[in-house]
Amino acid sequence: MGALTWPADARPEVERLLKTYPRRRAALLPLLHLAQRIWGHVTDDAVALCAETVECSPADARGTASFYSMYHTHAPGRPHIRVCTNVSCQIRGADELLRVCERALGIKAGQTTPDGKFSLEEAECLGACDRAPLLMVNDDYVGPVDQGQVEALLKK
Amino acid sequence: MKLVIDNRTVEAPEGTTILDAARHSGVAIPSLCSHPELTPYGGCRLCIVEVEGMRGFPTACTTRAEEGMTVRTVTAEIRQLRREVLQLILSEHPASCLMCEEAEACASFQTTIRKAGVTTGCRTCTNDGRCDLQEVVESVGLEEIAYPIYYRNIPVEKDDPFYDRDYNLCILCGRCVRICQEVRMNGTLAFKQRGRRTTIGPAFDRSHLEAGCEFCGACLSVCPTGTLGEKGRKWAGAPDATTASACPFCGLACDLQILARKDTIIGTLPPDTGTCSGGTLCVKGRFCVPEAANHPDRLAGPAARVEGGVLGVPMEEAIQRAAGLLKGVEGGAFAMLLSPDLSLEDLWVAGRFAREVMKSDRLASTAVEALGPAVGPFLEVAAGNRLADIGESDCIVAVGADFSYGFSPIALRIMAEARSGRRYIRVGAIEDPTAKLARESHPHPLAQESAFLEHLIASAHRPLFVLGPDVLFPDNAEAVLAAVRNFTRSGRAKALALLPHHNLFGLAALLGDTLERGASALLNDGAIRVLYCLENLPGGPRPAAVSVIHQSPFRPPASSADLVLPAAGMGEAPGTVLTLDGQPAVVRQAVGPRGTALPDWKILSAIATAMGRTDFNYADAGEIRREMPPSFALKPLRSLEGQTRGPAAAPPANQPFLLHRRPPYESFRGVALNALVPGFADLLPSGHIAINPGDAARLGTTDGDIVRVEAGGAAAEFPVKPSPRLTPGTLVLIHADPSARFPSNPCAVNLRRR
Repeated sequence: MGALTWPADARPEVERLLKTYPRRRAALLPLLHLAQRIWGHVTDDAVALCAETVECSPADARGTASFYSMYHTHAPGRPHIRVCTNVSCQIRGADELLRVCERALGIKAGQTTPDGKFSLEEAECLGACDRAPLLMVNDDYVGPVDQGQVEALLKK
Repeated sequence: MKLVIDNRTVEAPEGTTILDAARHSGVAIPSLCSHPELTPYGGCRLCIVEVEGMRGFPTACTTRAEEGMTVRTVTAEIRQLRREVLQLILSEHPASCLMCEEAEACASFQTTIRKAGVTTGCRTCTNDGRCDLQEVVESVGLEEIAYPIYYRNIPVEKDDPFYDRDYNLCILCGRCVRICQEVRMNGTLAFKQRGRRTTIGPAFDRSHLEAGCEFCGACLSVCPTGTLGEKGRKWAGAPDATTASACPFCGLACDLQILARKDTIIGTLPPDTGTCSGGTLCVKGRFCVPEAANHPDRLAGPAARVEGGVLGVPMEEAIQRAAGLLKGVEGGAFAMLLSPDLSLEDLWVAGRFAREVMKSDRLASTAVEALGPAVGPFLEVAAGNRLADIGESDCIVAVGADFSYGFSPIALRIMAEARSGRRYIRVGAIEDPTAKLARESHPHPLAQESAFLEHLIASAHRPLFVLGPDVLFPDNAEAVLAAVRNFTRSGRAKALALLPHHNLFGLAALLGDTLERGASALLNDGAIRVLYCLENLPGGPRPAAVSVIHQSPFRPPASSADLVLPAAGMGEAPGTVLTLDGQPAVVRQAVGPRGTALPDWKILSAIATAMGRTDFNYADAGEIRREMPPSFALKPLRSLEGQTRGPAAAPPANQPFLLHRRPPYESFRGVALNALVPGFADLLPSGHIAINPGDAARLGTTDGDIVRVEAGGAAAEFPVKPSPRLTPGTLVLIHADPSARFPSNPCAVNLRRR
């Protein structure tokens, strides 16, 4: 149904993933990651392609993609900043950190700056409570941080 | 297997859950997300219980009952936990209908601010009085909510036909998502996002219509809240009567419950377990009944054309006028048109009336004529229909079957077979919900029909052809049906023909070999002095008869009839029909007839009596049934030789679209359903070119834009209707006169934006 197909060099990986699990459906998450690596974010067409590949409904695949915060439904900025606001980080001032980021970048959480450079996201637990409050810049942890450090980091 | 629930030893079959075991033995455990038709989910956490030897509080719906288990369903601690869980669920659900200080006084007095003798009470939710959530709040005994209520402020979705969606009332139990995926195998709905942002809907912000929703209403039937509201009965309240009856819209005559309030039909539900059954109805049976039954064009009394206008007259006078019109008219001067939606009783009395009273055998049906010249072989194949064949074949080939908005029970059986590995092949223009499970999909064959079909079933031992109504309209329909008939005659294959009308077998039994007699030829031979239109008013100009008597639940077009007699409508009279597998289905009376309307047989009997006959004094439909010979109420066996036309030519390159045409055969008592029910016209409109959304975008057109359709020298203009059900290059036109304006069907055409 979709207009999109897997590029030739990704096909072996798609086949490998489909064979890894006893049920086709289980390959949905790794396929969504693969699609995100190829197209930068999980576009509607990419989600429809993944759904077709594992034989589930597009609604199901889209629902799954929107459940996990590591899938981007819109093109993320470089850098993409995640601020954890779960319990450990929140106790140590994460809400304030998020507000500092929003003020400094002039955008709200979940948005991208108009020039497309920075994107900001309010994240669920990032699995590094010992370093709270914590944020992630692309794939790297930064923390524990205070407001001053964040402001300095964003200026860079 | 034996276990102890609340100090009582109960018996339960192996493999059941604690919840099922408890319910079977009469122990009520509150729950919101579980449903007998769905797999256990464990989402609402209300069915928590204590099991001896097990840690914590397992949910009864997801824990398997085991031999010797000791379960407690009500303890002080469980009660407290359930209240807490329910409060959390309700912290996102407006609760004024659940908890109110005035609730007790309201129930008994219903306060009003007006100084008048009326009672009102609040109407804050359309589901008030038939809501699972209200019942659970009562059984858990929750009296106040400690948490602030968070209103999600989601806009109410009203754009799709038949039902509105207010997700502010949703408790995310997932019943709708699961029934859409598990039972209907459709997959329009899914959860989106997570946490407090979770909502339910189709992918990519599409409308339900665009996402391939069948509008079967299963989600609505299982919703425990007022989130999903049926547009047609939103504020109608709870029904005060429920009647088990049969659906009037096609030859399946599915079981359904008719819901009535104050002697008016307010809705329908699938059969069985009250408001909570998911069921297998299609959009027609689920949503179209109340709108057809209560249509503004319903006739409440007879009317006669007099000099200078139309005059409402009492029933007795109308009967006398009819007798007067018919006096002295005999034999070829009298003709009767009949609808294939009439009951066997109506048809039997109509046949007696025409043949014995009027001495005429000029009976025909424009609805049968609209099905085209292939209807003979189609009915012959249908005479062998057996629904059980679906489960007994090793290869199912659906030809011209569009399961999008009809024949759902058949589609669900086929999909279940396909899921369990049965070979399923589709032949036809439309991409319906079964397409995703088809092993192969082919367009309608344009040549060498027999060889093509033979090739499809080459490796099968017990193949079954499922023939939908759309097989009747292509130019080579007779060739395709002749091929299938040859397979069934030789025993090579079985076939199941899906009859588009409620009682086509009944009409075939009445008309016998004259079934295919063209109604239009009959009308135009100049001999007719009185035409009796029994729920079958021919379209187009007024037929060349001296007088026209119109008998129907619906008002005829202005000045098309000299005498109008109001017939009882949907659910207003009992009767019997023959379903597509030849079984009699009983239609029961749910409400009284509108105004002075009467059942069709009663009007005909009254006219016959007024004309001096003494043998038309039936007391009720049962007496007619006893008079009918047994052979009349049996599936007719037919043997007809259809002619075979040559195969159509392949489409030329400069005409890239293939246009398929068909009449609006979804009808009720002789009136097209898309003319009666606006929501159904959103799905299958007449006079629109249905087109693949991608093709529409390439042409630069959107819904409602006018396009010019060109084929050879012919051209016509229609609005477009993009539909995900169509594959690229395919067009479908539903039109009352399918032969008009195009040289062939299907027809290679070019499409241009006007």
